[in-house]
Amino acid sequence: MDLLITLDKVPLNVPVKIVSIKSEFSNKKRLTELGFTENCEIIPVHISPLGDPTAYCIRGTIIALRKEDAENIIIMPKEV
Amino acid sequence: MDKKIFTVALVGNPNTGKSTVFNALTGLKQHTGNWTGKTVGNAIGNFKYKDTAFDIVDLPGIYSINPTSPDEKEATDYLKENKPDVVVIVADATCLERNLILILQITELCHNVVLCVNLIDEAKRKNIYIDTKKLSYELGIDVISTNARNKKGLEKLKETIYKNTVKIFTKINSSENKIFKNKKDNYEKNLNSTISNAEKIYRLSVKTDCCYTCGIDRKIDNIVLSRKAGIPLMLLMLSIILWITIFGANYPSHALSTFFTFAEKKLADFFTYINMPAFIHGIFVDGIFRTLAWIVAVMLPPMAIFFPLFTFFEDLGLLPRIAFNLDKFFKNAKTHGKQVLTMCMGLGCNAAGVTACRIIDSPRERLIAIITNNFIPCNGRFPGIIAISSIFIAGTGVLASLKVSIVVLASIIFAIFITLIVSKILSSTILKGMPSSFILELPPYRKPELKKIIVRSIFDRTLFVLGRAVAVAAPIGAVIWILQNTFIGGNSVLSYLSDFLDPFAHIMGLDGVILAAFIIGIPANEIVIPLIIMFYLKNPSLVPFEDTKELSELLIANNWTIKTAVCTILFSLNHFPCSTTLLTIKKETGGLKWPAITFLIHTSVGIFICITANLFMSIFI
Ligand SMILES: Nc1nc2c(ncn2[C@@H]2O[C@H](COP(=O)(O)OP(=O)(O)OP(=O)(O)O)[C@@H](O)[C@H]2O)c(=O)[nH]1
Ligand SMILES: [Mg+2]
Repeated sequence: MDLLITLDKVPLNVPVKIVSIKSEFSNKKRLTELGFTENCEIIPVHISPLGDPTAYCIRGTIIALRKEDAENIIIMPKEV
Repeated sequence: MDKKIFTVALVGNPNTGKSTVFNALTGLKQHTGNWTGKTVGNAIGNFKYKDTAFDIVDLPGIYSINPTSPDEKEATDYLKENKPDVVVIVADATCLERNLILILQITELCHNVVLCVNLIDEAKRKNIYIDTKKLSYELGIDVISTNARNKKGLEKLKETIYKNTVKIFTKINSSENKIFKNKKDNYEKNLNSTISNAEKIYRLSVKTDCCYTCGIDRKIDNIVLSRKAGIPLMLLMLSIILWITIFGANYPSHALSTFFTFAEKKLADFFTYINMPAFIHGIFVDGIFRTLAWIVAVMLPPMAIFFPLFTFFEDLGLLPRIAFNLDKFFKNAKTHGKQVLTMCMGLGCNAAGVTACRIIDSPRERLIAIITNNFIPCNGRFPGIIAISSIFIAGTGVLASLKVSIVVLASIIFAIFITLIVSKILSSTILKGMPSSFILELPPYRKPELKKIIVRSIFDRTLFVLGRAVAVAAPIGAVIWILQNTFIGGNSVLSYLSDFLDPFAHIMGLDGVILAAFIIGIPANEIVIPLIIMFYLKNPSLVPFEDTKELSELLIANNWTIKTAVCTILFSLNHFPCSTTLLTIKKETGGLKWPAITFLIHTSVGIFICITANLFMSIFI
């Protein structure tokens, strides 16, 4: 299962696609409401000076997530 | 038929301009700010259109109709319980795709919904074109685009709200209310179909070639949030704010002191002239007048300057970025990332900071943020710290205000440090748990509106502080004078208190008078220093001081040393919250338990720090 990459592993400015949010994750509802859904494009745009959290661009908004949260979001590379 | 007053509710995602629309419609001054979570409670106002009266409610921003945090619950509860006649959704034109999720949820559940696509000016600038006709057709509701800041499109909005009230009469029978009937398990299923629906409508009605990842905001953030510059820039900005505050406050302070000294002489002359009894003279001139004069001359100028500067950076959109840059520290202390935002509010006023904690969804982390908020020195405590450090630490000369700024900056950094330590201790003892999350939106940078900032700071801050000075400080000034001049067995009542506290206070590097002033100053932090001065001025015929030189002579005459100064500053940073803050904690947590715990924690931390610092300095200095 090499293809199961999580959002926290994505380097800056590389656009990827969301596959799913792990169902046991407690913030799943909130993230879904923020538009984190299947097939949605997401791009990491900034990393905090201390290395965590990271800010992502999704649906025209910038949302910052801690590493622990981003680990629950499974993504795949965006096919070109 | 009775004229009905219609109720209108403003709902929408956070930071879309609901409060700005509210202010534009009602002429009121709800606080606005460029970050998500500025409004945490409901505000009610009213307006008239074509002789129809409307009550309008400004609600906290929400991401969905299914609330996650207390401030969101406030908004959805309102919709549920009050069933407003017209619901106006305020949406952000620059990110309509995300906004549509909530819009669809609300249209599904409420009648008479009007969509106000706000921030249309920003959208235009970013090359985002919105086909409002198409949007209106797809959603089946009226859609208006507005620029609330410049009051564009608001007449149209009023007209549309008005038109929708007419609909109420026509479909009076169809009033069964569907709001919030959906069950929890259905919710997530519905959510996904709502989102794909939102995507579809977005594609049909919005055209854009906007590059979200390469705009000017990202370029600025590449510096502000960068590894090298991020934290130094924040410190630099804070130092600049403090320096402008301290340097700028010098002049009005000096002018006001001169004026009040003059006025006091005149007042005293007048009282003597009309043969006023000595005790009335004492209460009014030495008690009330002096306390008020001190607060207005010394405490007010820094507050009046600091507040607009702070608001400027808030409107610019910096607060969430500070939270972003510092989050790792808070994660390590096992607390919520949004705690930084509540601390920023605490810098203005701790009671406001405690209320702001509603933006934190997890109860455990919210309590930690509430308990520790008072470690951040509020606006009412700065001026005292400034006054003491300019006497004992900075000296005089060109660099004086720079040195004082550094002391205040160090105080704030120290306060953040203590907050983190105490938060960490709380997270591993009485409020055990893991950090929940940091899901925070970074808003676009916005140009602050200078005129509004200045008007707001004059009314909200300057007049507020003046009002509080009159309401709290004046009576306390009178009471203190009475206590000071009522003698039992040759000693004044007040000196019994300070003598009683004296031995313990000395262990803390203070003296009985200072400690007594802190205790009596519970109603308002800004009166502590004036109280200390009044206690020392046992002989009322002493000349009032016109500048810091006389104040420093007075303090030195009462055995103040650098040690006393440092310990007083430390105790000012770490002591029991003022009564307003305690009452707010009681209100926010619903009981006496947490205010009591907060009181105990802050008092013991303060005592501990002062004793340690005193010991340390006694050994090394
Ligand atoms: N350029 C522009 N700025 C606007 C407009 N409307 C509001 N703003 C700015 O957007 C920011 C947010 O406005 P608020 O009214 O505080 O937003 P809110 O929806 O009440 O936010 P919350 O209370 O946090 O939910 C402020 O800095 C406003 O000055 C607009 O039409 N154009
Ligand atoms: Mg608001």
